[in-house]
Amino acid sequence: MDKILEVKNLRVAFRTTNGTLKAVRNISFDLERGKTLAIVGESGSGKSVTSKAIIGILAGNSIVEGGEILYDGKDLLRISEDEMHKIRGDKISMIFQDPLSSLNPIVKIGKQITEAMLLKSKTNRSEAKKVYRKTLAELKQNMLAAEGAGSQTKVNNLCRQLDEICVEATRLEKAYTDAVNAASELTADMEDLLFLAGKKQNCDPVGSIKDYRRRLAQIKGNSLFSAYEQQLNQADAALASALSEAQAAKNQELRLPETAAERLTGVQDLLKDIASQQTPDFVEKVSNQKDPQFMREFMDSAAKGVEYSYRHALDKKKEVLSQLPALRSFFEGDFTRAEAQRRCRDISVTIRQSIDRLEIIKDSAAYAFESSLSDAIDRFFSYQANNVREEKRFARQTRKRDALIARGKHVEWKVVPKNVYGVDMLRGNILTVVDRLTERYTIAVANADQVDFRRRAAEMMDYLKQRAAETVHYITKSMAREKAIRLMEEVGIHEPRTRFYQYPFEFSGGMRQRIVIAIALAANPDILICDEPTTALDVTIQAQILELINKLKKERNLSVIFITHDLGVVANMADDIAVMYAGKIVEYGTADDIFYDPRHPYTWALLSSMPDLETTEKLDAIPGTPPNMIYPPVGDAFADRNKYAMKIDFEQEPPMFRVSDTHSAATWLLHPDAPRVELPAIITNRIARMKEAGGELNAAE
Amino acid sequence: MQQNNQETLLRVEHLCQYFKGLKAVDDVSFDIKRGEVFGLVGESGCGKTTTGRSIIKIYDITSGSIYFKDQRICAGTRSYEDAIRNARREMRQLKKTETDPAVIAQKRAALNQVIAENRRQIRSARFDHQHSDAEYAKRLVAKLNKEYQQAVANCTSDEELARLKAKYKNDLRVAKKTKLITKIQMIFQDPIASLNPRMTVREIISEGLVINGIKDQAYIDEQVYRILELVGLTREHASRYPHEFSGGQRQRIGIARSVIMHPDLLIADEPISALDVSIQAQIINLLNELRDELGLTIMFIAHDLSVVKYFSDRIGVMYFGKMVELASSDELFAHPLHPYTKSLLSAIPLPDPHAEKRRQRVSYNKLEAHDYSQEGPTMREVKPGHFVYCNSAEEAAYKKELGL
Repeated sequence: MDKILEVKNLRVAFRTTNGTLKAVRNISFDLERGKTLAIVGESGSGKSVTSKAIIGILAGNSIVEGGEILYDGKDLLRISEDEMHKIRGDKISMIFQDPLSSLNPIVKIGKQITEAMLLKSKTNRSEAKKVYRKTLAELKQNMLAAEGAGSQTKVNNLCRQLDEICVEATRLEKAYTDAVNAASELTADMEDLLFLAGKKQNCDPVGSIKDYRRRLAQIKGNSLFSAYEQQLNQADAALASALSEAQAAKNQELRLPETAAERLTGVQDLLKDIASQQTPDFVEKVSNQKDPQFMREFMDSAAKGVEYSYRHALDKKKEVLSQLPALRSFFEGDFTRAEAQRRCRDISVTIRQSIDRLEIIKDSAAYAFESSLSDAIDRFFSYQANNVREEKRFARQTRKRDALIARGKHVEWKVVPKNVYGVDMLRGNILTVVDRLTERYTIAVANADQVDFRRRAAEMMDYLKQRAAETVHYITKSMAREKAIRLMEEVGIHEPRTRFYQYPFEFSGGMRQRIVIAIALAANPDILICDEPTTALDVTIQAQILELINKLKKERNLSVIFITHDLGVVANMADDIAVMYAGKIVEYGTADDIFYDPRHPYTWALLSSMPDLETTEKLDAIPGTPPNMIYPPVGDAFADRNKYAMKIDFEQEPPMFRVSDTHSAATWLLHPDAPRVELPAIITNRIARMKEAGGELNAAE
Repeated sequence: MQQNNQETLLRVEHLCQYFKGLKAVDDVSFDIKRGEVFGLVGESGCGKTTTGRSIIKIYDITSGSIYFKDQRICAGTRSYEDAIRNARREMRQLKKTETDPAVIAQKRAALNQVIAENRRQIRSARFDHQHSDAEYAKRLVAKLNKEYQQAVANCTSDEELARLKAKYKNDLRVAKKTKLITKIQMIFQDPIASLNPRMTVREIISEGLVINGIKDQAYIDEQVYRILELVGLTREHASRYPHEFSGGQRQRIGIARSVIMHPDLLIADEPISALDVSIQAQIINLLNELRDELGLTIMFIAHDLSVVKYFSDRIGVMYFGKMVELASSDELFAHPLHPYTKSLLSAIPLPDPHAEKRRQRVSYNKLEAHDYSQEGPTMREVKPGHFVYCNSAEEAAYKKELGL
């Protein structure tokens, strides 16, 4: 199983008027493709903050103190907002707790579902154009350098020719896309007519079918569709007979006879078939027509260019690698701010050169090195204890406040407390940035011999072709509508065609949540984050929504992060479960581990505070409330509410103890010297019951 | 937990609550025994909250009657009005159907009697609906007078007489202001929205006492402190405002406010749905303790079935304004009969991954599940104490299912 998302040592805090609130304190977990991770905990345990950090929508007063969130080779905490924009919603989608607050009350839901598709269609085109031009220019430069002096004319010619081919190909592609879009629009309109006629609603079959014939003739006129001429002729004939039938039934109640409706469905299938054909490779086609030799020539030259760029970057990488240990030891010792910034700038110059710009999968460790490092250095100096600036500010504000109070004024504001972190932690942040780059570059240098430049060049070519094609692909309103209606069907909304034109208030709670899920799925994301999606819903609807999420997860191979406070809900959903308390993961394991063999007292408390169908004992309520995270408690945060707490729990924070390969928990009870503690009776009874029931059923199977 | 007390505290008969055309609650009947916890479950919008609110007279009910301590507190007139309308229509058509004048006269007299009877019912319903509290107060005053006269007769010294007189005066004022409906109290779902942010906890909790005419500040304070300690808060909390409390503590304040009136019946409308898991258990335990200590009867409205099962003695299942099944909680979960109940039970998520993977949700479609073209359904007792909404064919099938 490949890891799709890795969260490492994430720390998030919020600055408030009363001090810094440590919401997430050093948590790490992995999410595997096609699996569900459930994060369980009380409100205020930091589970929502974690998910918001992943999609980069933390509140303005938040401070990401450290850690990294790796997705697709990128660190989501360090990439720019522009890059995040492409990932958020597109690759990682989120469903919120209250469906009504995530829908616009005055916009019809159809529009809300299609909005993103239409906007993306436009931006994708301009984006693709920009990327295409930039990459081609880069490639040309490298080719020039690789071929050496005197090859300028040749390279210029090659590139110009490629550009011409691409332009020609995009022209063809545009015509083709237009025709395909026309075909899909035609099917969509037919679907509408069939729907209206089926409902005996006001429609004009004769006029519509005439219109369809006209549009079909246009599609047929496109030379690129000559391969389908016979099928299109058939479709036209079917439409003609449907027309005559509709004309005959003009004055009857059912104005579209069933035979005609069947014919229309047949035509639809034909058109859908044509539209779903794979788009031909127009670049290949055009280049073969013009000059069969050209492509090979260009590929030879491009491979040289790619190789040159790679070798050049590799040399620089080696140079960087030789400098990094010195940098690391420099940061381990004492240093001043100016000196640190200078060293950072110096090495960044080489690092910028060491990036292979012709690599298709970009390495964010290198791209984000400079900004991450200077950020970490800044933080090192401004959040360190006894640092001059912070002391000055604190003294100034205190003086001002004291003076006001001395004059007998009523002062409503408070002095913002000093933002202080341990030096080791801040230094650790700096060293992580350096270490990560060292690791990436060591791997890159070690694998240098295995690079196949021809393949890379081919990939590059494909990349260019794709971008060129993207500049002409677009989605029209009626296509988006068809797609939205299919999505609505997929998430289980009946009669999507009428529902499409309704407002959010016309839907019940469960239906609203389905629409939110449909919107989240519109972009076909890799990761779906569900933040308490069923807390506001009742049992039957909750079961339906959970089944829906499970079904979609299987069909689309989604990875799901499921956040909830109800352990009962996740038993069916989750593959892995992380139990969070006061910003830390206190227990991590597979669903079986957590439900059949819980180890942390907090997990016990969560399990025993909810009755199941057989519970008759008094419930074990967790006494008290979660701690105030502005002043995180020394030792185990749960110690105060824990009846199994030992003396050490109040003095020292427990590390994660491993129970098995998949299971670990942070409690001193797992220490070899700890006294043996019996589980609460309510849980042992329940586990015994579950095992018994499971045993019976397994025997039956 | 179960008390073998068969005294009926609340009886609901043919309760209908229509909002314009919408039948929020339609012909629901049940009774609640003293000392038990009666659970009401169903999906959102099925009318369970409306039922609770109708009982406490937040709405004027459309039709049916509600008896509390054997006194009718709510009554609707729609069913009587319908009966009168039908009788009149029949009377108009008499001439067309019958020819014999003697028969016509006889039937007309019978119909007139029906109309008169229903008119009397309407008058009686209106009177009960408006004056139930006054009647109750009158009864209390009469009882108080009797006791006072007895005490005066037995009294020997002047001193004691003066003391008795003062006590009588105070008690009389309270008795005159006492309303029967205050013996039913409600806890609301959202602890934030149901507390006035501008009142201190002391004011919130003591408001009911003050309205009831109690003026002795020392007595009020004493009661407030006692109740605060009863629900697990401390005396210091009395002078704070609601926003200074966490969700669980706010819900405790809501409970304190309703318990201070010494209610006989507590209507808990989803008291734990808006709370965090760990707090939910605290509130359930608190309600359980209060019930044992104060002998409360609780009507528990919720959609979380595991909690209802844990907490209730008897459970009513509602579906689209109708009560479809009513049985003791063990019986209901062991032998659910109505297809909707089955579907509801199959939707409960369990904290057991292996069982969850095997759980099959049964879906319920009203039209597919029943065939009521021949005979309409009514509430029938399939087994002692187990009522199901069905027709005779289904009743036979259910009995067979139970092996009766």
